[in-house]
Amino acid sequence: MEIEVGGTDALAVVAVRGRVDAYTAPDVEEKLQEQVAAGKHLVVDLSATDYVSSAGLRVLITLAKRALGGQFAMRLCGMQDAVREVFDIAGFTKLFEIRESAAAAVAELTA
Amino acid sequence: MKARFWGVRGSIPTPLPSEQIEHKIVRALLGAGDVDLTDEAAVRAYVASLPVHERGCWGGNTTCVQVTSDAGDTIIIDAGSGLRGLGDAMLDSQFGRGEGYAAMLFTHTHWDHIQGLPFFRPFYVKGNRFDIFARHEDIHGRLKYQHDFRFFPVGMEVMAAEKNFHLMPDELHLFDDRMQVTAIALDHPGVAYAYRIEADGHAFVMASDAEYRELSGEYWDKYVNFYRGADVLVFDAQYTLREALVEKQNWGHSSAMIGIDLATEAGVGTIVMVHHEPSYDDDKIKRIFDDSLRYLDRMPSTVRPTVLVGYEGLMLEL
Repeated sequence: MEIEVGGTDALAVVAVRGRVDAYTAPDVEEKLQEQVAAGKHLVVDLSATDYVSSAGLRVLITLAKRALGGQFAMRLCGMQDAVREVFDIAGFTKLFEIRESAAAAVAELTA
Repeated sequence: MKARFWGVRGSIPTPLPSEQIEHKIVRALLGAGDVDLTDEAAVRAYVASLPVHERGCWGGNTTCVQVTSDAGDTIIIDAGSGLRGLGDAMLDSQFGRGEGYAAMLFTHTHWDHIQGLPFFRPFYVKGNRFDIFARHEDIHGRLKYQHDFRFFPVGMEVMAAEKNFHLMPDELHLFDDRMQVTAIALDHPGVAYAYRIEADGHAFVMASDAEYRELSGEYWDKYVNFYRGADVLVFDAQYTLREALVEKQNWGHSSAMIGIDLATEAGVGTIVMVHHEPSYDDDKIKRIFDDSLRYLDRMPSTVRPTVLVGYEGLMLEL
């Protein structure tokens, strides 16, 4: 699993490549929390993520709940069908702001 | 070793309402096709071919599981309302003659895990003997409290069987060491304990009731290690993942998806989903089960557990 962070001073685009499971979820969580602590909005690019387990879903939903507090905005984007199906199975799809691409999410949050 | 499930419902006994029975009958008749409904043998064969939740139900009795060694030694785990049926069945054996001996383990003492005890008929037969274990202090006091006259008319002292109550040690050796039991604390209001029973070269783990507050790291690993290599893991799957992580966080229960992750990582042979949510009908429980199989299909691991919905009457041979 690899994590790449890009974006601007106000918005982080965090691209996650590979699997997010019990072993890799803590690294994803740490990286996302760092961006939020730095006062940035979050775009989580899942286009290169091929698997998300319950541990990965927990990391994302924990942040999404914090985002509801209004301190930062969060978007997920680029989900592969297999990952989207896991979100659907978990009943999580409607709990997130999901966009087709990172470009669309960034454009929305910087408009 | 064998395991039989006498109660699989969570929280409160949940009798099947008449409208659900009617719904099942209608659906079965509509699906009968060219079955000759005037031929009893043909009808019975057709009914027997239907899935468990369509020809009957998953079950409404609360937690009770019977684990039996090849030598016939019996451990009863929890005394939910399912214990009543087990007790009645036991009367056909030496327990009916006052010559029986069994061990009992309590995961915890919430009502749905003790409410069957006053109706456990082998307790009323003089001569039967029971060793009763829990990791909680004063299991005798807790169970006796349920028999206070304000709550039940028959005091525990009236139950003539010999009952010895014990604080369970870290390692419990039963039946001349033919069965060994270890425990691990589970996150649940008031604390519950999972039990790992080893006998006849197999391992059976009962892990109800439990919420998993972390799904990674040391917290996660301690459960993976406790469940590792078990032939059967009985798992608290009361909630959907959304309920477990969002809507009912801190309520003390888990979901099938978390169970599948744990079982896969621990190399468990079969995971049995139990402690079904009482507000869910049989179709909803089936849908959650089907979703969990879809989740299992998405897993990258090539070694996957068998996934079962626990139901009353389910018998597993380890």
